[in-house]
Amino acid sequence: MRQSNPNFMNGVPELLILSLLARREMYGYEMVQALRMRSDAMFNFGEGVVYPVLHGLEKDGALTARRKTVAGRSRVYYALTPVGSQRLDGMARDWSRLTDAIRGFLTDEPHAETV
Amino acid sequence: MPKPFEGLRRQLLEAGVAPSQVGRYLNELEDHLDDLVEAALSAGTSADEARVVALGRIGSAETLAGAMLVRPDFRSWSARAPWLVLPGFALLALAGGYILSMLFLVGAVRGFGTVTAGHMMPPGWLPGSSRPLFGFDRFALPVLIGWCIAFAAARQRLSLTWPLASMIAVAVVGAGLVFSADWPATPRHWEISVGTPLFDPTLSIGWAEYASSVLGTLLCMLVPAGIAIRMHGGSAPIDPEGRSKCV
Repeated sequence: MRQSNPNFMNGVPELLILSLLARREMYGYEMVQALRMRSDAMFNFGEGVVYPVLHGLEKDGALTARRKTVAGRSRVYYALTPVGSQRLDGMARDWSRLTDAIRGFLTDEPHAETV
Repeated sequence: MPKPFEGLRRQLLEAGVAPSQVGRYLNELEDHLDDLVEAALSAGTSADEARVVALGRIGSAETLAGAMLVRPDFRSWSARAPWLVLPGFALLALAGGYILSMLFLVGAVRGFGTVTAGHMMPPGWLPGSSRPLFGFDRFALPVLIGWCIAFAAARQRLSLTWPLASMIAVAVVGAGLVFSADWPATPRHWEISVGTPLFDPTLSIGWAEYASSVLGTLLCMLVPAGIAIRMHGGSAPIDPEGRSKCV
């Protein structure tokens, strides 16, 4: 059994999911495969953990869910709401600042902005 | 083939996650598992191996349960505050039943009654119809509410303390209620009243009758409650380690 990457649970999944759904509506399995492909399998997690994250985001009003039948398979598709877009913008901004700060720290360059 | 997420379902319900939330999670996990199996099969894996690979990728029961349990808002209110929700539901349902009965009687008098000598008189069929209604409120309604509580408690794997306390409260309050209607034969005012010997010992019900009524109601509640708890697996530990397994 693969080990889950605990870091996946620290706000990153929300950011990645919102970012994926900013392009188009998707269902859970599709999102996980897209995440794997785009991250070059960097994120190693139990694929099922994506659903509580999706349900949580839906509860917060960031996503909407609807059951849709495509090619004979009924699946739950998720789409971003305006609240989700705002949340994505805020999280992406925070994440950028954080990674800049860490990069600055690792390269020993002073970072002007406070995170 | 065993259902793959039954252990997870039980684990989440016992942790207080709302049944609707659990059902939705498990449905999506099953869809996801089907997709993973399909992908493994199309990659040339054998059917048995495909399932093992798919279950490995979807995550262990602990991982899947942990992801759900980090959000306290997925828990049902009856798991978060059973001391408030269960007795509150029970007593409100009883009160609701009585209010509906009273409204029905008043509506029947207003809708079908006749005005005689300045008094609104009930229709002739109403006194006969009110007796089964009072009987329903006193005997059937508390039992039905008790069954609802038992079913919800069994479905959500709640500890038995609060469901039992609520059932006892419903039996004590509901089975002791005395309804009376004074249907006048001659034109004068009429009244419908409801009371309990708990607060009004002058009511025409003896303590012995009251006690046997409460006990009878409790028995009628507890037999189906036992069946419901048995059907849903009760609150016994899932395995000797108290953990569920995914498969």
